[in-house]
Amino acid sequence: MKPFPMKAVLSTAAILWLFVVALMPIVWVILLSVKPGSLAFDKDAVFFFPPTFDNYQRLLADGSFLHYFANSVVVAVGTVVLSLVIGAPAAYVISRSRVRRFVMWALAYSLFIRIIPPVIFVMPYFLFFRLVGLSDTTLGLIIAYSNLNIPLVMWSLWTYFNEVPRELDEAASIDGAGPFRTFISVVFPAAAPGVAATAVITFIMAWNEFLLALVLTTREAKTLPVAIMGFLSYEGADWGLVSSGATMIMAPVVFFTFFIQKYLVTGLGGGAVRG
Amino acid sequence: MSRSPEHEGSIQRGLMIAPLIIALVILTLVPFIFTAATSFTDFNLTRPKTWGFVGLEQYVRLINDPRWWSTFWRGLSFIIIPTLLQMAFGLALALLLHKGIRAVKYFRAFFLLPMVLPPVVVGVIWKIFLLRDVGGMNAFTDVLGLPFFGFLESATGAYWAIILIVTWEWTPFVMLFILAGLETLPEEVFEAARIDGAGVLQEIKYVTLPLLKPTLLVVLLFRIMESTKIFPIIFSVTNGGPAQATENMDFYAYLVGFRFFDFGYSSALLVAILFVLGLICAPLFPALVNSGRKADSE
Repeated sequence: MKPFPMKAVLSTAAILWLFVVALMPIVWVILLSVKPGSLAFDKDAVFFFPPTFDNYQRLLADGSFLHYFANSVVVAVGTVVLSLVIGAPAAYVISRSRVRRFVMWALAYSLFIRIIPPVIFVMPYFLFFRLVGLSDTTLGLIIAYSNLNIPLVMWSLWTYFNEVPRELDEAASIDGAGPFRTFISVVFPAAAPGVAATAVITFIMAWNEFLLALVLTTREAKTLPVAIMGFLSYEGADWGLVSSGATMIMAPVVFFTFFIQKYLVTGLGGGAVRG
Repeated sequence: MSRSPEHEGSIQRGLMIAPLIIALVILTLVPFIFTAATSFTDFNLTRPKTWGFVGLEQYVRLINDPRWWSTFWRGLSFIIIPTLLQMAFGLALALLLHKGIRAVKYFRAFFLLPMVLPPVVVGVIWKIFLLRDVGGMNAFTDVLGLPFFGFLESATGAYWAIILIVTWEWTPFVMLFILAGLETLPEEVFEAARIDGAGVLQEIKYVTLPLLKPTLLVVLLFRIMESTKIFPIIFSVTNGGPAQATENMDFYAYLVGFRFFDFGYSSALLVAILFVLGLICAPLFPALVNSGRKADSE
């Protein structure tokens, strides 16, 4: 006799419930962004209506939102490049190091940066950046974000480089390649999928960052998270505009998430568990 | 004299790691020392020319500051309550979904969304969702015949709104992390338990949970470590209000620094925050480094 599939029923219910709970607020905002103004304040939930893109037209009309969008792209890409340039070679050296204490210190440093709230960096950066003319520049944000992301990149790449067999290094070294050459032409390409996933996670981190951008930018270099808070600060915020802005900020993140979903849990979990 | 390849190699290795060390010193160490030093001054951005060392005055101020102590206790509760809720929900869901349906793999990206979206946007989304006029919450409570609960309209409501949002944001991560851990457990142990006649609950209690302990520990540590970073949520949903009811330690330090421009006192607050975090994390550190090393040796 087949037992009643209690577990299957329960888990189906759980997954459906989770699906609804996880997505409902997100879906709500996307719907609100294309809702005709007359329906936005309807107190019944309306899911079917002819969509309108008025909010998006208003959002993009004066070009400032696109300017901030471009800033966000520049800052996120710049952070990825700088964090990889500094973090990847270091991660390679650490992954091939036989000095345990050295490896431990590198990991402890990564963890430390991950734990401390970024608010700690805000004040010194604010003053230093004013001193050296980096305040309200995208370059300043790239530098600040790289500091927060290098440890993450290092930790994540360290685990991916560890998976590249040492025999490859030895073969390269017999062919007369030094460590740098080995890294660039052998180990880095061999770990390419992991590197790509790490780059995307770093992109998302930089794209999402708020606090440092809030303090270190005023007008020119503002990024999207700061810009959208600007929409909220007026009395009686224009929720149609806010929801279309929020939807546009989410879009790239959602897009990337579908590509690297396999790596995300692993990457954010510091490689402790394979997703 | 030609240098040996061995020597050449270690020079190259040094050069590969040098940028990291330089970045670490300039961007992390110097700011730390600077903040620690500023905490012994009365530096205020509104009068940057006149400042002096005041010794421990800012720390005395901190000890006597009721607002600091209320943000301190609230900050701790914002670490503990959401973390426990995430662990409980995440574990329950993972146990339910494990081997239940394969479909969870296809839904994974959707479950990841809450934690990968920009925290500010998460805040904005929830603010809209919880609002009386345009929010979805109202529509749902209406359908269910429940009265609308104005989360953002009272101090208690706003406090629980923050906890609700953070729990929503991170529960799927905990669930997926635990699911990944469950998949690595050896199948034979479960079969043996079943042959011995263990029921579902017994199996979970005596087989699954003990085997899962390392995974649970790691995910707990990660959540505790990162649970302090809820500044963007507080900023976007409640802005610390109403009447300071949702300020945590970071938020207060930010206010003192960038609304009151009192950098001296803000620095003292930051040092205190670091000290608190150090106390919380010190016992967790060795366990985490060990888990990292285990990942290394595997």
